[in-house]
Amino acid sequence: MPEGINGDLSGIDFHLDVSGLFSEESYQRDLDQIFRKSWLAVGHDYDIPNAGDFRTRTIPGLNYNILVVRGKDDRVRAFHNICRHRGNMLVCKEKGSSRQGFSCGYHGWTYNIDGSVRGITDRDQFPPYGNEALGLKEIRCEVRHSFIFINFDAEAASLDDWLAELAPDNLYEGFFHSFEKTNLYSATIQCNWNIVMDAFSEAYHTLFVHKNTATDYLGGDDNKMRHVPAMDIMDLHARHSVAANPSHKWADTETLAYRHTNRAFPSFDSNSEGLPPGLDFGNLQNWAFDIVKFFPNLILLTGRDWFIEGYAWPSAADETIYEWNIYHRTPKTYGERVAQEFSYVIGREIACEDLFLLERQQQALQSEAVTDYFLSFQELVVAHHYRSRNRMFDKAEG
Amino acid sequence: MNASLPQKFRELEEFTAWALPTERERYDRRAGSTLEELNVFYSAMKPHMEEVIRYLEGFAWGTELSAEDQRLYHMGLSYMEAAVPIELKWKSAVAEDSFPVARLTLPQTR
Repeated sequence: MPEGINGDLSGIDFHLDVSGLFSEESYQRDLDQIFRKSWLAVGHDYDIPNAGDFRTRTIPGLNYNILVVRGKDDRVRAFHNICRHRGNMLVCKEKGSSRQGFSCGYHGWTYNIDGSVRGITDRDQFPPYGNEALGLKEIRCEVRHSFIFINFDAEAASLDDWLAELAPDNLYEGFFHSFEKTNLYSATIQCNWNIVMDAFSEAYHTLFVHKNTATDYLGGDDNKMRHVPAMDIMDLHARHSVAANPSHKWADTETLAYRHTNRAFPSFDSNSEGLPPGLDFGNLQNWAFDIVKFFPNLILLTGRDWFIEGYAWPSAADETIYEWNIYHRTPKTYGERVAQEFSYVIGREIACEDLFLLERQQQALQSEAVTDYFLSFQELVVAHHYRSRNRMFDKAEG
Repeated sequence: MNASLPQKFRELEEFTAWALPTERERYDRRAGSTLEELNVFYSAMKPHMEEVIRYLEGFAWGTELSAEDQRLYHMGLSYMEAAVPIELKWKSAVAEDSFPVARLTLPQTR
């Protein structure tokens, strides 16, 4: 086993049986026993800073449409976006702000932003239903590290318990609130969501998949195979950090860009001084970035002055809706913003290389001609994902 | 003729077709170009890019730009698109073995 690995590895298989992984039964089981029972990250609190600010979104696969809204008490709440009268979709905008609440377009029922019902049109024509029955159906919702987490399971343990080692606020104190969000990408990929998670769990593929975009950005002469110097294996979640190549050759435009803005993909500032302890958690000499996997489906890449988040939402046994955002520090000027574009464009190109490969891999695997993986120690985080899945299945069936 | 770029960048007038406001448009123009066409734009812009960035550093992020300055800004963003296939020495303007950008939902505005 390589150095730099922390955590309990019991129950992790390197020779993985993935038979049935792409079947309809397996997909339904993933939805029922994982997505219905897990804390799912659905956005950021900084997107809804003021009372009345809201977002709506569909959760693919489960096909719930949810409403997330900041209350007058500053709490973030989540609801099923459904009027309690006869089930019409309540809020039909993706985002907005409405301190006074929401009204249903069907019969004009109104709701406060804490979810309680306020006005029922022609109320005395109704049997004496109590107001408590008529409030919006609330979903468990908690915020941590700026992420808004929801859980459809009323019986689930707290977010603190779920996050475990990743729960403490100080891990990312102040980090996520200091960025300008400028880019939201999404794609419908014809592949199962599990292999999407796998693709972002190891550095091994970068030698090949990204040879045309980021040829020498990781590893280097003393680490040619791009071994991962730090991996933390937890009950459900895992994180690892990758090593930058100290001899990375800068393209002309890369040199230009990083004269005018903080270094980001595919050059890295290895100095993590001043950053909260969640970043460069392994205190690496050639720290490039961390990859933190919040089970089930959030991949978070964190570098000194940037981060990327990716969400793999299963929408069919052979389909995933993949959403990702790229963040850089808010530019001071338009000139700096031009410089940052270098990194945005390369980041998009790199992501597209991963996504292309996934559709090909799906085509190969779904035939079930081959139903096992032979993983290396460097792919421990890939193996770990399947242990986490099994732990959720055991909990659901136990 | 109405000048459409700031005075000190008039030399780049013939490339204002690259002054595209969205990522989709910039990528599509790149994808629709031959490497030679990209190289014409890239080579013309490259020696000026340090100056372009420094000039645009005079405008605080979030303030409204004049039409000329905004054109220059968008051309700077396009330069970053064009540079990718050239500097990475690709055989075409579009990556091989890459998820089609046409299938991505891209940011609406920058």
